[in-house]
Amino acid sequence: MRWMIWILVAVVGIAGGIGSALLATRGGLTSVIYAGAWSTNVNNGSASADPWTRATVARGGLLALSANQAIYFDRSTDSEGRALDALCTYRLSGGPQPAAWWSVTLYAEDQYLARNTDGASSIDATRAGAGNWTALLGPDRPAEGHWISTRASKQPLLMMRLYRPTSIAPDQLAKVVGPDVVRLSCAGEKS
Amino acid sequence: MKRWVGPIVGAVLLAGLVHVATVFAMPYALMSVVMRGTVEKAGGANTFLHVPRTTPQTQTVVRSSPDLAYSSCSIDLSGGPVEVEVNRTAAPGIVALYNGNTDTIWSAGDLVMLPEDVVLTAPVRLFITRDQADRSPPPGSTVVTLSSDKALLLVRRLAPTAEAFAAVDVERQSDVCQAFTAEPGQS
Repeated sequence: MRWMIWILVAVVGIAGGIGSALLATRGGLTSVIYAGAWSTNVNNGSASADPWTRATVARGGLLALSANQAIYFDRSTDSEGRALDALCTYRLSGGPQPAAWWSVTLYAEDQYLARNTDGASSIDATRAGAGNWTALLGPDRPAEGHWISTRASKQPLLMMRLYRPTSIAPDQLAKVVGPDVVRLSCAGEKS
Repeated sequence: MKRWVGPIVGAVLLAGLVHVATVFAMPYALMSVVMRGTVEKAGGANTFLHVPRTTPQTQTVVRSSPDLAYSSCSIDLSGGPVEVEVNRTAAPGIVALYNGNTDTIWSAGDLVMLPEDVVLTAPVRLFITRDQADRSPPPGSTVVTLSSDKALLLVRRLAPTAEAFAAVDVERQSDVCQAFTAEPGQS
């Protein structure tokens, strides 16, 4: 009987070790600096990143550029803190960012671009221009204006890339004003 | 109850060891998959793979950027040094080398130029080797010395529109990533 106990120990130990490692590194780009609802981690690609951060980044943002070339902000909630829902329509609004160029891209919950054929995965500084801008985020293509499609996703997330950011100091990154995300309507809701 | 103390302590210790080993191994395993994929798609190591414009249908890794034109080359120094040439007339770009655990070994260039920047359009030339003294690098090359035989070279250029991507795609066809062959007379 004793050998059965030690087999159980081995199974529990291995499963617990692998499971806890996956759990500890599941956060995509782990959130260490918050700028409103946007969050970022400046350790991407850094040799000084600890093994847990390195593993987390490898799972959620493999081969990310170093912080002085690109800062990656994540956001997965609307202005009221609710998880983004692919069946809802949101107004995304923002302005110039403290970087040489920026983009906001939608990814599905599996961290891949939502697998639709709408050709509307992102908005960027080239298309938005130099001033304030708005875009609709949702499943239906608007008659006019910028659109980011949520089709082929369920609980999407947004990633804002700042290429050549003005500063990578944590206190400055915490002051970045990323685009706001306001829920306008949801499928099945009365408007 | 006492008879369970040993097994419980054993399970906790084993879980801790497996946890640490898994966390350490994860980046190596993921990079290995990427490097193998690059070799297979490019037709071999030390050969550029120019990835088509990133779309939901062509993406191969998580969180790939639809703004960028990616080219990659899986570096293998087991047969000697490798030379790299990356053109950057159509668009500026970042050339980066990553080791097996995803750390950046070397990088240069910029994705976007600022008004005050001096725009460099000369190609980036690298001489990648295990031993800096083993061969004479070609003139004008930057020597990068690796601590292992394998690395991944990744070139990113900003190409947010179809027109910008097409221009980059034409130019990058003349980029070079290949085993270094010394000119006659060179040591």
